[in-house]
Parts: sequence; C-alpha cells; structure tokens
Amino acid sequence: MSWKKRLPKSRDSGPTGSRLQIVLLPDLGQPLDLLLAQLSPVEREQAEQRGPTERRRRQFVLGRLAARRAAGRALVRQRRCSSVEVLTGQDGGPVVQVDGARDVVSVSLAHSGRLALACAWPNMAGEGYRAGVDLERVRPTDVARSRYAFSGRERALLARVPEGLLLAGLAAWTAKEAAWKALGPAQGFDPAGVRLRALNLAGGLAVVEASSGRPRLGVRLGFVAGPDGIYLLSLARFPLHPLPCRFSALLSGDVEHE
Amino acid sequence: MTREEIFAVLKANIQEIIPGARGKEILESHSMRDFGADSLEIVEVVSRSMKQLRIKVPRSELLEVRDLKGLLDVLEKAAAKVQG
Repeated sequence: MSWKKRLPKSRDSGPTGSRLQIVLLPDLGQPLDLLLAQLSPVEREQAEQRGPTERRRRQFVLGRLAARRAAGRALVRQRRCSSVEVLTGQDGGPVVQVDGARDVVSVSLAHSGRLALACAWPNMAGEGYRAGVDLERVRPTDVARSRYAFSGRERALLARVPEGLLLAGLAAWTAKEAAWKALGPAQGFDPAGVRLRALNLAGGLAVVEASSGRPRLGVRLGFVAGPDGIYLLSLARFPLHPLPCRFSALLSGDVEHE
Repeated sequence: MTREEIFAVLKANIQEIIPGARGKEILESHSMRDFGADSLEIVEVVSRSMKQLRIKVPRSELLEVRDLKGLLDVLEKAAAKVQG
C-alpha cells in the first residue's frame, strides 16, 4: 500500500470546523527550481538565504508552500484576497502577509525528513487564539534520556510510558515543541524550557505547561505515513479546545496529496 | 580542553546525526538549522556532545543559544569549570 493510501481520508471537518486549517505536504523529489518557482520573489529570496544545503532550502520551500495553502483556506470565509505570502518574521517565525497586511491570519509550521506540516487560523480581535504544530520522523533516538531535552521529573515520566522509551521520547519532544510554538516567543529560544506534565500515547494526548507553570496546554498526538516512513505529529492549541478529539479528525480532508 | 577540541567533537556529531551536513564545511557562524537539522537532531547533537566531553551545562544556559559559536561559548565555559 502506498503512503498516500494510508493517510486519513475522512471528509468530516472535525471539531474545529473551518477555524484551524491543517496541510501536510510531502517532498516527492521535485526539482528545487520548480518548487522555488511557486514562491513569491520575497519568499524565494528568503529561501535562497537558507544555509549551504539543498536539504534546508527544500524544507524551507515545502514549509512555506504548506503554510501558504493552510493560510489560503483559513482566509476563504474571511475575505477575498489576491496575494498570500509567508515570510520570515523578526523572531524567525513565519508571518503571513495578505495583500500587504500582516494581522489577518496566523500560521505555525514544521518540517522533518520529507514532510512539511502547517496549520493556519484567522485572527480574531482580542481572542488570543494560538496554535503550534510539530512533526518528527519516527527513527531510533535516545532523546528520552537527554538531560538537555528533559528534566529529571520528565525523564521519570517517560520511563513509565508503556509504549517504550523511543516513542515516548519522540512524542514528548514533539509535544513540547508544538506547545512552545503555541505559547509564543516569551518561552525563550528553545522548546526544552516548557514542561511536560503528562503523556498518554494510546489516547493521543500530552499535557504541557509554560516554563512559568501557566498556562497549561493539551497537545494532540498522532501518526501518519510519509514518503519515507512513519511520522509523529503534534498539535497544541491555546486556549485549550474544550472538545476532546483525535488528531486524525483534525487532519481530515486537509491532507494535501501531490 | 581547548575550544578547537570541543569544536572537533561537535562537528563530528553534527556530521553523523544531521544528513544535510555530511561532507560540508562547518563553521562557527553556522547554525545546525543551516544544514536542515530538525529540532530533535539538534537535541541529539547537543546531548551526545556533552556526554562525550563529560560536561554538564544547565539547560537554562542552552536555551538562548542560536548558533554554533554560542554553543561553543557555553560548552567551553562548562569545560573550563570541570578542569578548574
């Protein structure tokens, strides 16, 4: 069975309705020039400044394309627009520019291996809604034992996860990274600083709190098949969405196949 | 332990763990992201390097590191404490 056939297929828009749009984009080995041609001149210039390797530039471009699509979907019911660009903001994070305006829609994006993941949501005045996504390709790692990534309390928590240290470490790290993105730049430069408080892999849920202890976020976890293996995805939302849901429902109908 | 020795350990781990860095020149001015590292690969490089160098750096000192120069500064300072 191809990886495409194993992606979620449901057309149910999920409990978030049209609020949060998620796009997952695989790297299928297209020439980099063809990918770059889909970007705006400013996006292309930023992509070409991305380090000395093609791998980095490919990931950057795929992330921008995924984010742009997610932003376009989030905008559909909000307004008509002629141009959507995803630029790099002053803090290094992605900023969506819609017809020159920057406060219309927000995005979070991630890439690992040969997949890019983005989510977008329209900004509502005074609402303070934020989301963060992350993904990691499942591969051998001893991150669960890392003193840099996890505190002693967190490592003890991971040692009790029935699915084993490898998956526990990967899931915990993606949960921390998604929550760190949702919480914003006040959390410092590194996701290691936010705190993992609970991890239920079978239930697809982690609980993470800010480095100061507040706020506390629920993070949805899920697996998806990519072109080069299985990936672990995470989605954190703030304020915490009150309805319990599976990650597969959030992805439904929003997975891009190219 | 000199800064050059620490950088040699760091570079070896970067080349082993980050596929995009293999065969590439690695400078202090680079960041691991320049080579396409994802966050997990960065954690693995830092954790393995600290283990091999037998030094411990408080996480709070690593949280603001943005490039290899910053990481080397922190590791060099920790190594000096161990030696001192």
